Amino acid sequence: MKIMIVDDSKSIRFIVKKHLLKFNPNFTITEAENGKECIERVFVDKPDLVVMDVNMPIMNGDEAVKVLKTDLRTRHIDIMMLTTEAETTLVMKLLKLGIKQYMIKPFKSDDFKKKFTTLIQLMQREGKVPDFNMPIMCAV
Amino acid sequence: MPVDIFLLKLQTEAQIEDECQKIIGGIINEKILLQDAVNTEFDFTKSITGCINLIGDINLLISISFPFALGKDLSARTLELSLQDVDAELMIDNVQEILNQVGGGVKNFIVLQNVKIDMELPRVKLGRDYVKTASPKKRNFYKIENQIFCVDVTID
Repeated sequence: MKIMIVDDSKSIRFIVKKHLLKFNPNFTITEAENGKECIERVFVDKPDLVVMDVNMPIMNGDEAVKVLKTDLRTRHIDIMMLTTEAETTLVMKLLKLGIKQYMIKPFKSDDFKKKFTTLIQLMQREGKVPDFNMPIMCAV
Repeated sequence: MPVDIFLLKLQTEAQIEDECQKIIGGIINEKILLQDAVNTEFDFTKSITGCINLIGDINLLISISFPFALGKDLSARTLELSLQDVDAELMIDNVQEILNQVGGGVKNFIVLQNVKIDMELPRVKLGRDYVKTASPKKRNFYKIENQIFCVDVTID
């Protein structure tokens, strides 16, 4: 499974990557620093899932979601948003745009694991990713 | 002026500063103690300082200053790295992210009161505590274990 992490913060990309690889060391992880770079790189990296921040320079996460979800070539890519803002209107807007999951920062390792497990299970039910022989529940 | 905005302005800067220190405490999973500002020693020449603006119905400037050692320590803790693995670039990046999370938390606190506000991107500088010159009021010092940092909030 290919996952792209999009965040202007190197620290957050580092933490998210660490969590994802704990979850499954076979994930292929790529990174982008903002929405614009993400949109440019999805055609090369072809991720199954994008984990993206909202508040970024050059192009915000919500603008990037809009682009990804309106382009026929990228609309199948699932998106998990990371945001510091728990504002209901923002979350509703992102869900309407088509994101599958969201996570409020700062997050604890267990919270990330729970939300990510739910997302992966949903993607597995939709046949978008294979069953990973349940390494999910064994992740430390 | 709408009543809710008027009421929000009545909230003291200290309350929002208190909210900021709770958020920082949450990030590092630790209770932060308020330190008596009078007897603190803070090396202003070797600090990492960051600001984030929240702009809308009211305008806020949140500033945080850490001594280098604490900035490095916080980065190592949040990234689960050893102190040796945290370089200046990572420390700046991590403090920027802490500011982002503090700004987001304060925004969440404010929007609950039906006040529209947007968050700008955080700015971080190494080497001097420019908040001290920009904000000559009494500083608000907090403490993580025995290390001291400042949080200042200015509301327009």
